[in-house]
Formats: sequence, C-alpha cells, structure tokens
Amino acid sequence: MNVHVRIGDNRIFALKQAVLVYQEGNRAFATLHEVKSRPDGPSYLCAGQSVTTGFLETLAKGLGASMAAEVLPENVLARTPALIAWWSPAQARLMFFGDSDPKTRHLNGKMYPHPALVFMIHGRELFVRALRENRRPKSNTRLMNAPYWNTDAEGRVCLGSMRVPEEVSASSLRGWEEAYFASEFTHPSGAVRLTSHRGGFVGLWSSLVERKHFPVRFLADSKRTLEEFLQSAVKD
Amino acid sequence: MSGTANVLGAGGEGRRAMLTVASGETPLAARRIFAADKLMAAPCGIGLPSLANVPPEQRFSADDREVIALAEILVKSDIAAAEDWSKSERDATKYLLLSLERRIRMHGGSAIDRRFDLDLTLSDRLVDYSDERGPEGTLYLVLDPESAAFVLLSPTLELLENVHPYLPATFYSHFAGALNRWVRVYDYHDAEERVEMLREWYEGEENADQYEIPDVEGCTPKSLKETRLNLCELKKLNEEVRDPRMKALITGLLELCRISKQATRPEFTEDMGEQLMDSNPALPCLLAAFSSGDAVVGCFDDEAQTAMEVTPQPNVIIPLRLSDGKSVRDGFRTLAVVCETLAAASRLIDLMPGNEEGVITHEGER
Repeated sequence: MNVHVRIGDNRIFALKQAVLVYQEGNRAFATLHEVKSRPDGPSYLCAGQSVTTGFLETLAKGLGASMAAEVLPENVLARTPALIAWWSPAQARLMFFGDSDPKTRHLNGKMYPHPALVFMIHGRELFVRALRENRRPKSNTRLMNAPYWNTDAEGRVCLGSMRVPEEVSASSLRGWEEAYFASEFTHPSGAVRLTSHRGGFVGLWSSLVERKHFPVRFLADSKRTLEEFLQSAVKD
Repeated sequence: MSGTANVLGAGGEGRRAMLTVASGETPLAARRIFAADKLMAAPCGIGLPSLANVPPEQRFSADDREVIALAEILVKSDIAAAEDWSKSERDATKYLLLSLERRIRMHGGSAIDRRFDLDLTLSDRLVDYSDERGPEGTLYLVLDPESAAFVLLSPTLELLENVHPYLPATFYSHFAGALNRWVRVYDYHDAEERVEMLREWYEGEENADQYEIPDVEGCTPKSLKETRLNLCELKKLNEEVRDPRMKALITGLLELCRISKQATRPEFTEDMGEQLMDSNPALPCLLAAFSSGDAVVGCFDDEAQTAMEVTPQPNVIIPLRLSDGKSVRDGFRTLAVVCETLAAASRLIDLMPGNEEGVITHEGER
C-alpha cells in the first residue's frame, strides 16, 4: 500500500524519475529513467526510454502551458496560456472613490464618461491602459496611461480586495472589467502621470461628472505601443 | 568524459567492451583474484547506475503543528514506535509516514499488497487539490485504489455448487458484503445497473438496434439466484464439509466476515459532504467478474472511461480529531480492521481456483 502524508504544505517528495540529456554538438536527445530504491543500499537508475513528444507535452501541461480551445470574442487582442488582453470601447461607467480623501468624497457613486481601454491579465495580475481613439488598436497603436488611481506606471492595478473572477478565460473578461469598476479608487499608485488635466486626477474627474464624452486630450502618454505593452508583461 | 560515460562506458580491464558496475557495486575481492581471472571467462559486469550520493527524497516543511500534535498522540497511545523517530531523521511528517507504514505492515500489509493496489493518505482535506480543508484540528485517513484488483468467480462458484446448491450465492453475497462494508466492489449488480441505464439512453433513439448492450444476465451463473444461507447456517454446513479445499474456502470466508465486522464505518459528516460536493461514486477497489472478458468486465471498462471526470468519493474516510486522543485511537483501530479485512480477502482470493494470475509483483520479489 502506498502511504502519503499531505498536511498543510508539508510534503515529502520522493525521487521517482531522472532525465538524462545526451549531447553532441548542437544535437541532443534525452532518456527518462525510473529510480528504484533498495532497503539495504542506494537507489539506482533503471534502463531508460527515449523522451517522447508526449512526455514533453505532459511536462508542458504541468507547467501550465495548456489551455482549453475557446472561441475568442472580437474584442480580444492577444491570448497565450499566461496572458489575455482585450479592448473595451469608450462608454459611461459608474465610479466609486474611497472616502479617506475629502477631495474625492463628492465624486463617489456617479456616472462618468470613460475613454476606450485596453485590459490585460497576466497570471492573476490586471493591467489597464487607455486609447486615444475609440476603435480596436493595432500592434503599433500608442497607448495612454489609464486615468485611474490604484494603477502604477506599468499599468498594473493594485487589486486590494477587488472581487475578481476565479477564472481567466475569454468568457470571464466582462467579469474582470466589472470587478475593476465596482471597486473603489482609493489612492495614487507610485510616480505616474495619470492625466494632463491641469487640475490633476481630482480636477479631471470633477469636470466629468454626468458628461457624455471623455476628452482624450487629457490622457497622458504611456510611451509604449500595444505590442510593447504585451511584451513587457511576458518579460516580467 | 561525462559522469554518465564513466558509469556506462566500456570497461578497461576486460578485452570485450562491457558495461562496468557502478561505483560501490563491484566486490573488491573479486577484482583481486588474478589467478581465477586467468582460468575463467571474463565476468559480465553489467550494473545499474547507482545514485549513492543523490538524496532519494526532499522534504518541504511549513506549519507542522497538526503533524506534531498527531505524532504526540500516536506515541502516547503506543501506536507509533520510538525507533521510527531516528529513522525519520527527526522529521515529524516522515515519522507519521513511517508510523502508518508500520501500522499497515502489522495488519496484513504484505497480504494486501499481493492483490490490492491502494493508496492511504493522511491529509487535512478530502480532495487533494482543493483549497477547502476540513475543520481546524481534524485530519483524515483516506483509502483509495490506485487500480482495481481482480477476482475471477466462475471456477469457485462451480466448485461450490457441487457441494451444495446454495453455496455459490451464499459464498459470493458474504464475500462481496464483507468487502463492501469498507471498499467498493464492482460486480454484476453494478453491470446490471449500467445496462439498465444504457437501455434507457437508447430507448428513444431511431436505430436503437445498432447499439450492442453487454449481456450481463447471460454471463451471470444461475446459481447466484439461489437462496443464501446466513453465517450460522454456513458455519454448520462447514462442519459437515470433508473436502479440505472446500473447507479452506468456507473457513476463509467466515474469517473475512468475522474481521470485517470488528469495526463500524465512521459517520459521513456534514463537513465531509461539503468538501465532496458534486463528486462521483467511489472508484472500485476490486472487480469481481465471472470470466476474464465477460460482460461485467466490459461494463467496468466502459465506466472507467468517465470515472475520473469528477472527483470520486474516497472508499474509506477515517476522521482523526486531534483534540480528542480517543478519536485518534479509534481511527487507527478502524484502519487496522480495514487492513485486516483486505488482507483476509487477499488470502481468500489466493484460495479461489483460477486466480493464480492477478498477483501484484513487487520490487525484489521477482
């Protein structure tokens, strides 16, 4: 009978298999060996089998490099096993502000016009950028800083207690957007220029209460294209 | 030269190319007997690469309060042995592992391993990859099969029928009943349910005839529909049996039934139900078929395709409440009964004709 103890994070990992890599110049192959143990001596390697494509696929699955096939909606811009990016057209949205800052107290719970936005989820991190034009961006489209608190210079959102969906898939993107705007904007995140409005963040949103269109001239340049934005997440 | 080449490279001393024995495996004395070497053919020195300096396991330890609490109860209750503490290299998780292995050995481990391929897990949750653990201070002993064992019934049933017409049904119902108290046995009843379900599925379809439905009824011996004797009647009948082979079978069955009843199955509590919401039925620990390729085996193979689509319920769940030493002692007593039941079943299958195959060969037994 095989016995396992799995309490909390305590684990005993037993050596079960070994991969040997044989190389000659720039060509190589690998063999997979079972490890057998003996009660009265050191463990030993059994005869190996060539590592197959199936084995590599199993390894890749274990590393999370697999995802179910799904039909992508038109607003999805990029999709890898680790990342999904999409854009959302300009529209009016409800905004909530934390009550710790008296300057934003009067802005809380009102409708505001918002620019078109680009969202990206990498792992479980959410990133957001703004678009100058209300249309699907191209790879070389220059992105703007999202004019929101809790968002740093890289566009990374401080999730705090935000109730984001468990799942990261094409069908959950609306849930991520809704979660973002359903939580409160509470504080600036690092040294990032959120807007070129002379009244700054509070001045911008104070001027937009109940307005219909977001004035894109007040967006600050992120100095990155869409492609650079996506690549930066992969590099991180 | 690489380390691999050193181990697997051609031997330098012999004339023929051969694989040298890994470091530490060549008897030094043998190398020094030069006279014998000249008289005999060169020995075959094929060896297996040794992992003498490679750690055979790595341990990850985090919060081990519950591990230590359980280890303490087991030591105080004389369930765990003090000598395993040094073997565990003073690691509480490893100590629990060794204690469980010892416990299983004491209660028929080698007999169980002849026929059954099982996993026993001591865990704080019932679903391994779930975020939801059981209540704080409660651990579980969970028993599940790695693969189902196999028992062939027809030769035994035919033999028993020659002695008494009621014996086949009596033997099988008590055999399956004793095991089903603890673990799931997949048999012709499960196959009949499967067939019933298939019939319902195909009923409304246009060409229902194109589907082949396994003939479970056809492969089930008629003798199983006869009256079943109770255990007292079976004991009396056994006293009259003279054939030693038959007597051994019935005695083995009576022993299995006696052991199986020595404990009661722990209550399935609400917190267990919450952790196992939307789970599949337990995976069978034993497949009982009449012949090796019959309709019961066909149904079993068919069901096996989807058995893991949803997390299956464990076969045995024994809760251990760390605040209550008695709960832990009772839990380990129950585990002992489960193990001894499985060991008795394994010994009985050894006696059943036609079951010479199905023995699991372990390392070092070949």
